[in-house]
Amino acid sequence: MNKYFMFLILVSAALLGGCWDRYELEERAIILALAIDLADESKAAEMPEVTHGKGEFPEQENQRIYKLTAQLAVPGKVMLGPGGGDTNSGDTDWLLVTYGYTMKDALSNLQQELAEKIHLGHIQLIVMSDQIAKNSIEDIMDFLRRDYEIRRTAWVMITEGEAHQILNATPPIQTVPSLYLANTLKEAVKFGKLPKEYLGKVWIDFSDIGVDAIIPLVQPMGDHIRVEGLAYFKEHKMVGKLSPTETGAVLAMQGQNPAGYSNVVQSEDKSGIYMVKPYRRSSDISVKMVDGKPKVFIRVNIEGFIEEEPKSKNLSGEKLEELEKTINKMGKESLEKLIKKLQKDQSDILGIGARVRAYYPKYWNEQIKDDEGWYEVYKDLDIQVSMDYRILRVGMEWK
Amino acid sequence: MKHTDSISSIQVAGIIASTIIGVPLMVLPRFIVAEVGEAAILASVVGLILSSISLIAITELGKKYKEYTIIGCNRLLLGKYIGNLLNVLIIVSMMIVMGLEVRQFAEVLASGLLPNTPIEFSIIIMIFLCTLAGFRNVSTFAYIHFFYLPFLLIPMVFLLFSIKDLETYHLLPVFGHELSLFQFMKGAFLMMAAITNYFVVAMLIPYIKDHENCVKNGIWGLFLGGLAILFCIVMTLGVFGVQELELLYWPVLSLSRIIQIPGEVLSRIDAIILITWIFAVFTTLFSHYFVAVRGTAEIFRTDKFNLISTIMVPFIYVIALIPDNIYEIYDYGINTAFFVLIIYIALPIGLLIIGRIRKRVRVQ
Amino acid sequence: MSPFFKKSNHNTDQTLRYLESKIVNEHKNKPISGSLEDNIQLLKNIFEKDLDYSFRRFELFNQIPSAIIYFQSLVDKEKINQDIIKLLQEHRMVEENKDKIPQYIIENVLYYNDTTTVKDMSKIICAIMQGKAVVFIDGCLEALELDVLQLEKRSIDEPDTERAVRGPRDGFIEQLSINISLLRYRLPIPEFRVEETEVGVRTKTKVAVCYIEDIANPALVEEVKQRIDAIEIDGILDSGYIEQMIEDNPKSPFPQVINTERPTKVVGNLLEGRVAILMNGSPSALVVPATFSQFYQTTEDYNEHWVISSFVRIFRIIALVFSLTFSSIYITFISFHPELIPAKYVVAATSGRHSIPFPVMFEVLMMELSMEVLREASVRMPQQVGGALSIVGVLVVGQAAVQAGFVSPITVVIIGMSTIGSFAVPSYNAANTFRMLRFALILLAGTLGLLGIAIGLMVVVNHMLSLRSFGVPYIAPYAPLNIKALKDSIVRAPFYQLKKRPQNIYPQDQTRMGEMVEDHTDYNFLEERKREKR
Repeated sequence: MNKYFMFLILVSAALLGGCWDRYELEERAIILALAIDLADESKAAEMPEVTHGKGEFPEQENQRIYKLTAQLAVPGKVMLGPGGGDTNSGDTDWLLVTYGYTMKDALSNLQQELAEKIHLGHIQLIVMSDQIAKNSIEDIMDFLRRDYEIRRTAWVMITEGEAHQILNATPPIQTVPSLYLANTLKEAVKFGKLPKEYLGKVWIDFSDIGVDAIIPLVQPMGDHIRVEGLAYFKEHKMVGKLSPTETGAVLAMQGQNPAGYSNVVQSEDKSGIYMVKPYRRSSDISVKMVDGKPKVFIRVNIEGFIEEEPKSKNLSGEKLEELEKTINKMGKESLEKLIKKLQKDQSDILGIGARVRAYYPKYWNEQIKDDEGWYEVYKDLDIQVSMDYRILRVGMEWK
Repeated sequence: MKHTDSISSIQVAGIIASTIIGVPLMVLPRFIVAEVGEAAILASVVGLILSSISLIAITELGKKYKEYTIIGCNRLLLGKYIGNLLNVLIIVSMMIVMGLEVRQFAEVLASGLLPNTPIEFSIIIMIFLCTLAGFRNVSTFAYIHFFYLPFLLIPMVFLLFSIKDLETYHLLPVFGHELSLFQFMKGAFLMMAAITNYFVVAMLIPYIKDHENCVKNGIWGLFLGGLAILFCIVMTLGVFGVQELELLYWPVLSLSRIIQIPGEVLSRIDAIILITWIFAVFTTLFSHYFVAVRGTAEIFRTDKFNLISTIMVPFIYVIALIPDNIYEIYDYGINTAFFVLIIYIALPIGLLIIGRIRKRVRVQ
Repeated sequence: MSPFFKKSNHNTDQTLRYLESKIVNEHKNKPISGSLEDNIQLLKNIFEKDLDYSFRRFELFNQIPSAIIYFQSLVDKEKINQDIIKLLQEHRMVEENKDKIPQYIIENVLYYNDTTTVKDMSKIICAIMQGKAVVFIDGCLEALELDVLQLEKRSIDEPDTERAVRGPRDGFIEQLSINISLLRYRLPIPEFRVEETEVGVRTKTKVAVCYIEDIANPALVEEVKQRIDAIEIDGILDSGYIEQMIEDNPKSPFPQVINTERPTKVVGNLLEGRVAILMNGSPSALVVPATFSQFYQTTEDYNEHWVISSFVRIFRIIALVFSLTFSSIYITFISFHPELIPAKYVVAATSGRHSIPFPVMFEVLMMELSMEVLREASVRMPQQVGGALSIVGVLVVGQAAVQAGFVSPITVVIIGMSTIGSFAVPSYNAANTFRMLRFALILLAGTLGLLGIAIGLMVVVNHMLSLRSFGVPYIAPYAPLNIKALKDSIVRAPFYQLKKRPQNIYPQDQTRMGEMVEDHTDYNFLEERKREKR
């Protein structure tokens, strides 16, 4: 019993001594979103001396100054429950801008301006401008990986132009903009419009040998945003972007479900235009060694249905078969085009290299060895695509 | 020693399982993968099988000398001086391992859960928790392990939620890339070193009711716990891949941060995994402490367990604070683990052989 | 072993003599005098001042001077007049030998059944005090002792603390004999033992140890009797005294003995092989050994369908866990790990809290404390006022506190839930324990966050695992795990699954149910018979 007593003393000592990690919810500055832009060199002069003295930041090549825009939740502005008393007008969020050589540098500067402790545990999304992405995002990712509060399930996005404009989107339906933005992406994944590429997945893709990352691309539209497709990377550099249709093609090759993106198909005789929506996709990426060289076969199976046919009412079994043929040809062409594009930019977002490495380790270790070697091979890799699109249903209309 | 306590061999299995699921669970995938790459799964299976040989030796020894713990066995077979020397070695190594493990625990807390809480405090509170649980009653010791076991295993089911992020190309090739046998065995040894704590069985032998089933059930326990560890290795490797794993300090913690439960009741389940892991740490530390305290008591032929356990607190605390930084902890940890591994494997086998020779000599 | 056995180095008799009544001690082993006047004088000296002391002289068989002595307040006067004095006076003596008169009276004169003869003066004194009438006969060295006790009893009502929707409505009352009758008529078997002992040197309280001889483990019965006999105390006023003195770990906050006012619960436990302890003057019976799972079970569980009972039991456990951990988990989430709250909610939660001046821990502690005060107040209040008070307390004060910005609305919800959870636990004492531990957990959670909760829970669980109640592990059947006994733990399996008595108390006779009978009747046999008739 003495021991219980000592235990009690120990705990109460702690109680008196600190409660070291107790920060009440209202004592935390909850950052919901971060936008990262490139800033001019001139901003270096404006930076406060927080992590380093004036001009004492160690010089290195490719030195960049980041403009960090943070979105904070403002307590007391979001009402509890329906109605919830009188709404004192004002924004539910608060945008703060700081500058820094690195992420932590900028955040330290931000902390200098805030009373509460910065809390990154609820960060919903991180937006980067394509200027940064086209250079390299390795240095940004390091801080995000190292910080224990950041969720691996946060969204990372890239936007063409100014990233902070994304955070300015204040949609009328949601109380907090960044929640709306995160929701937009989450729903997009649910509808099969985007692959599930949250922060943790992007990090894995960056680390993996023979896999390159893709990051969702968004565009500010005033008070809301539009999903623009994907940005694809070569190692840590963004090398190009994919339109929504191409995104659909990537998703099809990855076999991700549920399927999104309807496609327009015109019948051979040009009599009708059909809007076909896939709803189940499966794919198989296999690698075979032919004459000591890898050869890749990508088989895509899609099941879909017809959503719209505005012109001619002439659907029938034969017509569907004919349509399937057309759509298969079309699909194969677009897939091949997409793969050519990716090969040209040396971005292996499908993870073909990882598969070669996994299934033919001997070949890999002898001939390829690392990422550099792989890109050389990948450039002119023989990739065969086949597509099997089946239209099963035509909706509520018979014809 | 006279006693009325007894435990069943199924409880022994539970003790082994809950003991080996412990502190190293968080880091083990990283260390094995860093050593052997994709062959981690195979290496850990081999490690598990090699460990079971040592466990069989311990339980066989128990079958032969039903009345003696390993401490008593050492004294009986090796004589008073050499035996006690080895006993002290066992106890000291247990204390060192415990100290290092409690430090690891505190480090994980400090960098993943409570960054501002002094690690000294979390270290001492954990040691105190072990002393509070008491060492007088062997059946209580068994109950504690058996009771926590489901709480250690069930939360791992949550890790299954990440199965859709599992990539087969992360798991292949199973033999790794350009791996020498030496490297592979080093991976297997890492696995063995992480689960040496099944050695606690050697302190329980006089209390086991059914020695006949002990070998079989002991192996079951080892494989149950080993499977849980293996499951964590497979999931982390499958989701992260070798290159990402090498970058992560605590892969299981990171994995639990990826998982999203449908319905979003909790936005992150890493808290549940962490609590589970705290339970696991407790059961493991408790086993180490048990061996150290009861071993010391047996050397001095006393039953003042409370006194001994209280005296040991500052020693373990000091050991826990020796390493300077997080890299050093693991350097120390792996080195002692290899050393300990040699004792734990060689000792029971050696004792078995000596026992046989002695018998033959006596017969002649 | 109970701590009362550990200190066996002191002299039991000495303590007892020290504790015992001095008057009784003086007359110990002193035979009564042959002279009637001496005896009357002796008792008069002791009881002279007492209001209800009375004695009446009469001539036995119309010839021998005698006296009857009793306490008016304790006896049935009608019985004394009609059944005793009248018969003793009117009878004409046949027996000549004076020494045989008492025996003769018992055998030939009185038809009163609770009659014995005594010689020891100290016993006579005690007997009078316990509502007996004593007849002294001049020249006779034995006195007659007649049990004419009559006490006011209350009716056998349903106990207030253990209400049930379905099941028998009777409950124990203060009189031991009636309580035993309630058990006897449910257990009309020769194996049902009721052994009597006496506890309390001054109160001389009758304590009955009840068990079923061929089910209960003899070692257990022996241990219970030993522990009760070892009690050295001047008096016990309720079975709670005995409970605290025979439990295995007196320092533990957990109840280690079941107490109940329902005869059915006692009978059910006796049938499982447990031992019940009943006491004169207390309506609650004790049952040992107790396991933790019994504190969230009720007898009603066996009366209802097993699916429903299992369902209810699961909810009771959830309520138990709620009442223990809910408020501390809330603290950790809000002030240590807000990243665990879904993002949509955290924004709203900050809004609810931004005007509250106190840290969450303080807020929760304050609310919990006021909840305890309210609870205690409503227990002590007269029933009519109590209801009104709780409404005022909960609705008005709670609402006002929120509006005043004193506590956040979420806190009120959390505290409300954890308090209600503690009331859903059927056993009052187990609920109290958990309520108390809740405060410890709140402090731990407020200091160390999630680690604090984990540590706190482990301390509690480890303590529970180390507890034994009369040699039975407290957490049985979970630890040690007994798969068969799990059928009657969190869930209540159907009766055909419960063929064996619980193994953890080692009953002598393990089977309590026969095999299932195969049903040979046709599915619609009634219709079938009707058709045959036609």
